[in-house]
Amino acid sequence: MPYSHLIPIRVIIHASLLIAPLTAISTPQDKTDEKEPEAHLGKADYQLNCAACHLLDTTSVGPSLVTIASTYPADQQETFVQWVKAPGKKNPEMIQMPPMAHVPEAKLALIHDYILEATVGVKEKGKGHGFPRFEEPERKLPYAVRAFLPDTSPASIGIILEGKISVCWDTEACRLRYAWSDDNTRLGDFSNHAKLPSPPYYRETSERLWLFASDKETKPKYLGYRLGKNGAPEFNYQIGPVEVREKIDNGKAAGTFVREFTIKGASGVVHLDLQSEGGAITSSRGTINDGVLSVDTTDSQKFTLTVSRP
Amino acid sequence: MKHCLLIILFASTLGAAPAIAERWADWGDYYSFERVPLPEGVDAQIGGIVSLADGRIAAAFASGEIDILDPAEKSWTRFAQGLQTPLGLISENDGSSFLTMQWSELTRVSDTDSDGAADFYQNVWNGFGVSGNYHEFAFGPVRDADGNLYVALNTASNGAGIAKIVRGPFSPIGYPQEKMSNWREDRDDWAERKALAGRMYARVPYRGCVVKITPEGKSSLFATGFRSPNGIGIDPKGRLWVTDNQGDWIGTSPLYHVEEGNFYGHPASLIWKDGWKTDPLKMSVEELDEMRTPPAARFPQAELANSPTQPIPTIAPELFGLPEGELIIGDMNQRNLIRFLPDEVDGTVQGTLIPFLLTKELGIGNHRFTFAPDGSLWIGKIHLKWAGGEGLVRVKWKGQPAFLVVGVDLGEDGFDIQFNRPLGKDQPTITVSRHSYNYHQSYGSPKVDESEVEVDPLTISADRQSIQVGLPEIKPDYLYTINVAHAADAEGRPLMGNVLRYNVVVDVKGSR
Repeated sequence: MPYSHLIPIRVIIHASLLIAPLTAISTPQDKTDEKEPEAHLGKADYQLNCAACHLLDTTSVGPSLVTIASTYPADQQETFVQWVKAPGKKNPEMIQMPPMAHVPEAKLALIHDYILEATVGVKEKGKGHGFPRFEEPERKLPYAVRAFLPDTSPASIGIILEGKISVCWDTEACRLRYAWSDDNTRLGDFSNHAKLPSPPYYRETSERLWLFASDKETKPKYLGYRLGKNGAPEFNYQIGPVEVREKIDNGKAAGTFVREFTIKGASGVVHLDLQSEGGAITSSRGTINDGVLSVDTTDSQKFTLTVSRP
Repeated sequence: MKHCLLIILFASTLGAAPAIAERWADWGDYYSFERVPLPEGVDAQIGGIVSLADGRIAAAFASGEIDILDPAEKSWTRFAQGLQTPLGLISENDGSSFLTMQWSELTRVSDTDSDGAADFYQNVWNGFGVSGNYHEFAFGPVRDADGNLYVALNTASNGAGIAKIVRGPFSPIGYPQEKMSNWREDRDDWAERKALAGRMYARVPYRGCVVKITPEGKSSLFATGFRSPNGIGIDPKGRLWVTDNQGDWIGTSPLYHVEEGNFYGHPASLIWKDGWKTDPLKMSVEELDEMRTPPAARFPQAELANSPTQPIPTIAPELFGLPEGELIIGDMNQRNLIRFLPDEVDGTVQGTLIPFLLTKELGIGNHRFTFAPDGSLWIGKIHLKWAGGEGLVRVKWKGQPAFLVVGVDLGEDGFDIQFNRPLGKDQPTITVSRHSYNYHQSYGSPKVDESEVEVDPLTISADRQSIQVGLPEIKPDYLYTINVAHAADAEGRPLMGNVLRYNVVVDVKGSR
């Protein structure tokens, strides 16, 4: 063995001679690795396995010990043990608890004992996540935010404009999906998808937006968006050889929003299928017939659609 | 005769308690912890954090902002906003642009007009699936020396189904899409049949995978087999490290050394391998076990970590008091960080986890890390409605090095434990145990086959900076817990972090 430079030392430890069980070895310096040895046998295991989510008298990530103690009184210990080994979901507002399969049943029973003991005479203080609830600040509008919105791909962006106009733009299809009346800038979160306060007042219904000449549509490639000085987003995407920019902002007239298109690489007359429900559309260039806008090549380089709320 | 001697020596060890300098027994003696105020109007949960060369600190918040702190002025400025759950952050061009993984896109946010705020939100990569499930977090990116980016994608949880519209394609291998998208209509019904989806599922690309994106924007599947890989890092040697969370198929939380093409054990993501046809839920444990690459290190559940987070390489020792060449890793539930000391054995990187900064001042939810140029460690906290924390903590080394284990090497006959200073005159007491975990579909695993291990006579080096712990045998696939008690340096300062957990993947002969 390659340790000839080492000097054998006097102390020889034989593990089998140790009196204390392995888990109970305690020396002064062990406090660096220990987490509060406690009098109650179940308390240390509670702190290791449960305390991050279950507080004594306050609902936090999960219910408080007071609530758990009332759900699982002394005669319900076995039910408690089986629940924590394979939890279901009792409260739809809360994240599902991970199973405690790594904790032996005997320890789970001790944790249950501890919960009952610790909650004697303790009253529930009320609900709260344990952290202050995030309050959405007042945002400067226009404000573009990625969110889970209904009836669009999960990779969509909400644009909240002045005058309670909100627009959904889908980065997957690279098109505006709909507009609704609201000024809420907090569009749900990862586990609570946004709900609109009222159905969209404007919704695009055509199968595809751009009818470039007679070619079949190429899947658009989403490139990103730029924010103007006022915060209005200008989306940028590519369909085959054509590069499109679409800026969404408030229109001059109340109750309107505008879509400023800048197009490069198009040839011939450009057609947009603007079939939609609700709203009224006007275009700064070209003509709209049966919901289809036709703009000649020169005019298509820059034009604006205005959508009015009915 | 030998046994009599052992008993006498053992008794004398117990009786002669070493003099421990109590003042140096707390991490607060070596490191300071400062809560740093956050900007107004952000969700105080931090998904990404990165320091800039000039000492400023950029942080990505759960409410979608990237704000930049000037620590000297104690002022924050808004750089970007409107991002969806960003869970990683790296900088480019001295902080005029950043890369962040948000829920549905790897995005570059750039200040192209030099006014201090981003005006361009560029799609770097969106070629992955989003099913609308609440568990599909997206982590990263990290960047290697060649400019390649790596991201890790969480699997979905059968605590919920999927949305009506997904970004797909939705893989046909498994429970039908329409049965997974109608889960909201009758939740009781979903509770009955959710097992058919798999506990954690990966039906849109490339859930449960690590993906590489070249500087030209070309993406490729790099590795499979992940569940909740909320920790991705690259060390100075270019090794890619990923942590994962205990759960189905993962007995206890692992740290993986991730190499291209490997499968790391959670089967759901296998469907994204080229040409894959089999439903992973119908594969045998033996078949999967044969395919998988074991972790380099394992965190015993609830002892070291429940949900480990970002691995970050250590920096120059004169700046933070730890040796270079290690990783520091955080955790959501435990109020300690963890050091990882790698040990390359027969070409396999495995190693030791040691608790670090176990103190109430640290708190829990330690999620993202960055070292500032002055050597301070900035910690961003998060909970995302699970266990965790909020806010920003700055940890500074006070300049007094703690007495530390700085190396644990596996030898033919045991472990060689190295210290950063000579041991004092009192002899440490070393006990060793070992256990393993089941590899199975169930959620987590109890410790299995746990036993104490007989320790040969200890040998200590002439410079008193290493101890040879001889063992009768070394058994691969076991996690060895080495408890070093009564260890102090010449001044009586105790060993900080005295429980060493070495994960034996291979022995020195390369046997598994």
